[in-house]
Amino acid sequence: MIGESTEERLSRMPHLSRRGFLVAGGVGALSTILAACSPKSSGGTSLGPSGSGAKNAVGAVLPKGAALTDQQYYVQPFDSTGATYKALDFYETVYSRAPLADEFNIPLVRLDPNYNIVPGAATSWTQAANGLSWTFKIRPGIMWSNGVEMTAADYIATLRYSADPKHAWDFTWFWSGVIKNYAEAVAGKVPDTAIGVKQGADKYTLVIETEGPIAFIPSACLYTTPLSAVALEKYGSGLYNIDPSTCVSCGPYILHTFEPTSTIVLAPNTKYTGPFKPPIDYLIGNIYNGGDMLPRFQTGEVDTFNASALDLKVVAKTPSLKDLKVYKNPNDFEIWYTFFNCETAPFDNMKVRQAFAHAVDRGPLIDSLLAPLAIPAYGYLMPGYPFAVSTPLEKYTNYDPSLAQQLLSEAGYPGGKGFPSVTFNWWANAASNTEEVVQALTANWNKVLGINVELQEMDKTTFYAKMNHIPTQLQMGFVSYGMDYFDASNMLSVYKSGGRHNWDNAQYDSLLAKGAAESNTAERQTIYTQAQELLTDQAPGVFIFHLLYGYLYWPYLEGQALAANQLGYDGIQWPGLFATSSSLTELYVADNVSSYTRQNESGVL
Amino acid sequence: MLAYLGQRFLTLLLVMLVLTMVIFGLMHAVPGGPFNMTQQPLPPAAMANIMRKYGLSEPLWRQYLNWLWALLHGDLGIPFEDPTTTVTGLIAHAWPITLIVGGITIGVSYIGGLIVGCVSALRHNTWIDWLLTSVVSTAGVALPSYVVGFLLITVFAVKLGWLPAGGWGSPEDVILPVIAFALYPMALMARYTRASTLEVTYSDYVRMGRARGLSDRRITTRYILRTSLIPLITIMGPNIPNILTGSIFIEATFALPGLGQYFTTASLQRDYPLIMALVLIVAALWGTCYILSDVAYTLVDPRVRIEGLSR
Amino acid sequence: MTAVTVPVPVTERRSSSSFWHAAWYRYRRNKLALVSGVIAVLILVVGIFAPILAPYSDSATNLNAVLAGPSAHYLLGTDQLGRDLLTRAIYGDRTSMTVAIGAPLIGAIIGLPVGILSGWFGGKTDFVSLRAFEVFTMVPQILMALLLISLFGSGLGKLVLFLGITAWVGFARLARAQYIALRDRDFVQAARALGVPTRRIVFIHVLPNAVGPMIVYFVQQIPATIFTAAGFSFLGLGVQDPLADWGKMINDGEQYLQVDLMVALLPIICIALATLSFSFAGDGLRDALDPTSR
Repeated sequence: MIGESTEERLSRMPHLSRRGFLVAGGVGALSTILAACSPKSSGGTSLGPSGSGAKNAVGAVLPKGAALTDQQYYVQPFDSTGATYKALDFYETVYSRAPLADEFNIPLVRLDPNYNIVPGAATSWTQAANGLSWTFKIRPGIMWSNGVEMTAADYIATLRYSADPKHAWDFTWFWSGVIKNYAEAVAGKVPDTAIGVKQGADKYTLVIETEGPIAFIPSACLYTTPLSAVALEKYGSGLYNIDPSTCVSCGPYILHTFEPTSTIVLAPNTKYTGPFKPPIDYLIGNIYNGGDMLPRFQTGEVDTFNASALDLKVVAKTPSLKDLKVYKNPNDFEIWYTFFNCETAPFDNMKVRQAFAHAVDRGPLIDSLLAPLAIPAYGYLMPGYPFAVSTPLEKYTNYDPSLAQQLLSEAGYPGGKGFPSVTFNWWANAASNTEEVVQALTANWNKVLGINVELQEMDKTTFYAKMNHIPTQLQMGFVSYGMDYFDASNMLSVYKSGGRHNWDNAQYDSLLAKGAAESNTAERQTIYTQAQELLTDQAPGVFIFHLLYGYLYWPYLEGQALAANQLGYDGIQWPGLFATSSSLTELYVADNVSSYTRQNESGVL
Repeated sequence: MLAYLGQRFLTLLLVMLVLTMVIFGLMHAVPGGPFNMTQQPLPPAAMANIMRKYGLSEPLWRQYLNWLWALLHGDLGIPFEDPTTTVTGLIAHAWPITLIVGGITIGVSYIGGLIVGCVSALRHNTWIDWLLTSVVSTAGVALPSYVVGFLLITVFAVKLGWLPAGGWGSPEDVILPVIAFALYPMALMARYTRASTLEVTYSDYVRMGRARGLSDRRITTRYILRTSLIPLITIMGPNIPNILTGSIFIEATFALPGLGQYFTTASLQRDYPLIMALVLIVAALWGTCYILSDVAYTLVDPRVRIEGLSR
Repeated sequence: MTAVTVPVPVTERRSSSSFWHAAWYRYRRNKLALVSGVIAVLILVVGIFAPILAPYSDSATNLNAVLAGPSAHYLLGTDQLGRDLLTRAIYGDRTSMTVAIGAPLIGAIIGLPVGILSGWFGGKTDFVSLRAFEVFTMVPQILMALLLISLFGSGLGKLVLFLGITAWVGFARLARAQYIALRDRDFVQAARALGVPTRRIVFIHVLPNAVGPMIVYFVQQIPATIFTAAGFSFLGLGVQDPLADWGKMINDGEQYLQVDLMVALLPIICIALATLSFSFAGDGLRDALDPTSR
């Protein structure tokens, strides 16, 4: 997942948060009753006035079947529990971005629903012959709302700002070791003007110099969402974008309202001159401090929400909702897994880890606790992710109790005798039903292997502090990772030496290094297949499931953005309705909206 | 009296000072910091930058003194969890809501509990006593507030539609949260009132009074109530700061943007400036509550004498 | 009209054993208290003999039968992991009662002596106690719990210890208030004038008069402790899975209310039953022990 951490994204996604349980019952009841008396029946046959062919405020021509321009707004819910909202730009802060961030510009490239990199502000890009730099050609004519044209200078200024030690950006690992001199600049050893981001032949050419040949720069450049160089110079930081009076945008939206405890509204940027014109011209984020999202969806307060497995069960029983299509997609391709501390007993013994890997019965676990929103995982990469393989990995971690017991015996603990009591740490994440999953896993392992695994819950901060500590302070833990960008090198690098897990396998490291430098796709596949097999075989972690995100949209939302992609996943794909995605221009409100009631809490329109 | 109060409050200030030092240390001793919730371990250079930016790289004693110095200038700092505002601003936004709900809760529960307890005691062992004791007193104590909240929402907001299910904006938003919040203190109040009243009712001096012909009402008000108030003050006094600082359960169930949630989130997210500010609030409230309780003992029962407190 | 005096007989008991006999007799006469007492004892017994009484082991999950209704296999149905609810309730009895009685007990053992001494003697003792009250109340419990757990891990015993140590303040303040109120009474002065030793006054004369609210408080702390423990469970600081605990079961079951009511309802019923029975038994006890009781 690019940009925000999974937790950040999950905490933004509406779900049954830790405190959401409190209202789950009550508002679940509310929804059932409201369903009976709500005017929001699944009508939709009566069509309202059509806006097709009309132009909205950013100059987009509304497609056939669209509603009038004043209906072209999109309201999303966000759960602010445990989240902090400091800024609206990736390069100001990643982990504390407010909802609806990164809409005030156009990144170099964008992602399409089939996870391919397509042009954004850049029309083309090439890698140098020696592989040590990439050159991007930026299209001319994109104007910032302050009248200045967007050029390479904006990207340069933004990236330099991100490396500045005084700015203390929280995502510097992303470019460290990738862009030349970046890590040194962060450490203060060289000035930030020394980083490998330079202007090329003219002001529309951007050159990115890399530390060694790096194949995945285009994927990584998804998050080159620039700040305005002029504004950055003037205000000294990216915080000018959280104040409507000083917000500077070259994208289709500009800040209208920023109330991080209740609502964030993006209005159309009437000075927009860019190529991508979205039919939806108002983006509205409703921010809730916990509580159940389902009833808010049901009353029309929001147009969509992220449904958990439990929500889907309730929806299936609710007359006004049960006929709605449930959209499913992998979002940021998360892997949920158990990791081990591979440097201390008993998990320093590979056979012990492999015993654990063969002792998990994924089927019943997923069916009873997560279905339909999870698929079993045998490796780190979710099927559909670049270079992911699945079937070759099954033999290393399939459910085989007798093999597991045999491995444990070979490790020196026949029947589990003598195996020390181990502590399985976890923190509560409702979206993945962690509490129930870890209990099921523990019961599983204790039964099959005859050992004693004990659960220890922690609060999120303590968990991450202990996990990320070098050396790690957790013997065994349950954690997830969602991708930052679309390339196997991203996800697989979590297990690189010196990262958050201490497997420290030199062969794996060298495979990753080779894969990052290799440009031939087929060659890369071979390398990464090898890496995945090594990872699953040696089992520094047991990979349990990949999560699917379920979405409900009211039927008046239509467009290619919701259509199924080549893998059969539908709903708005990652990264969502942002400048970084080509889906931004593919969603509109259809003219059947008149048979539904939409609440307009923000009072904007 | 004034001298006594002055001396007590001065002592309280000193205790608070020492307390802030202890808690400052405690806060930093808990593993994890406000910037640790990252998926990957932050490279040391980046972590150093962040710590430096927020003043967290200085030695602990210097950070404490910085904080104290700012406090003396009325500056409580900027909360990590919402740097677009100040701690003072955050609290000023959230606390009034909690105070309104809390204030009404105290009124309803204390007075209601007093009445229920008295009636229960005076009608000891009749069906009224039984009913009030088991239903009010025990239900209030045996049901957690969020379950009560859920029931209230289901019945009144959903089925009957009389009242809103949550949020804060109109006057009727106050009703359901207060009911849910007040049930427990009211039950407590009722139990103690009943227990104390019973004890006194049957004591000799009251029997003596009755024997001598004093009217029931005079007995009740002059003798029973006064004496039974002492354990009441002891138990119910501390409930006041509790209620005035809000309950995270009530606030989450009814979506109230109050102060109660911050007590939990500030600790969990290691929001140091906010934690210190909340500690100050709690310390001031509780300290004052203890002082006033002691004073109240003497006011309520003239036989009570407290050292230093002359009447 | 002279003021009503407060004569309480200086010595009331003929002998210690007949005091207890009288108390027991008074208790037995109160039918409600008697029945409640029996139920309370039964609850404790179920907790003690949980492994024998429960139909399944306490960690027996069955992922093929989650959130099932009552059946021949599972008398009260199953929870979200397919565990028998009856078993969970029985083991929950054991955990919850351990916490709910253990913690207030520790609190009482520490707090009552402190409160009595501080209330009786006043002066420096009182000064120190008051400061202790303030410090213990003002340190944020969550921070303390986070630190202790990160250092020592959590577990049932540690939870009971933690809750007990934070509970002492309530008992101490109550005892202190009672003793402050009673120490200057006429009957105490009379006892002093008669030369009765202080220790006897404090424990034999004043305590029976003071003990009423203490019993009520102790009994009321039982459900309160269960919910405090449940509150800690939210933050991961309480009882650890898969240990059954009534408060935690309510927390966990809340989200399934739409799908299976019993998961949350059963622990609520259990807690209510425990609360009621201990309350009435406690009231009866207080009535029985109170020498001025009718």
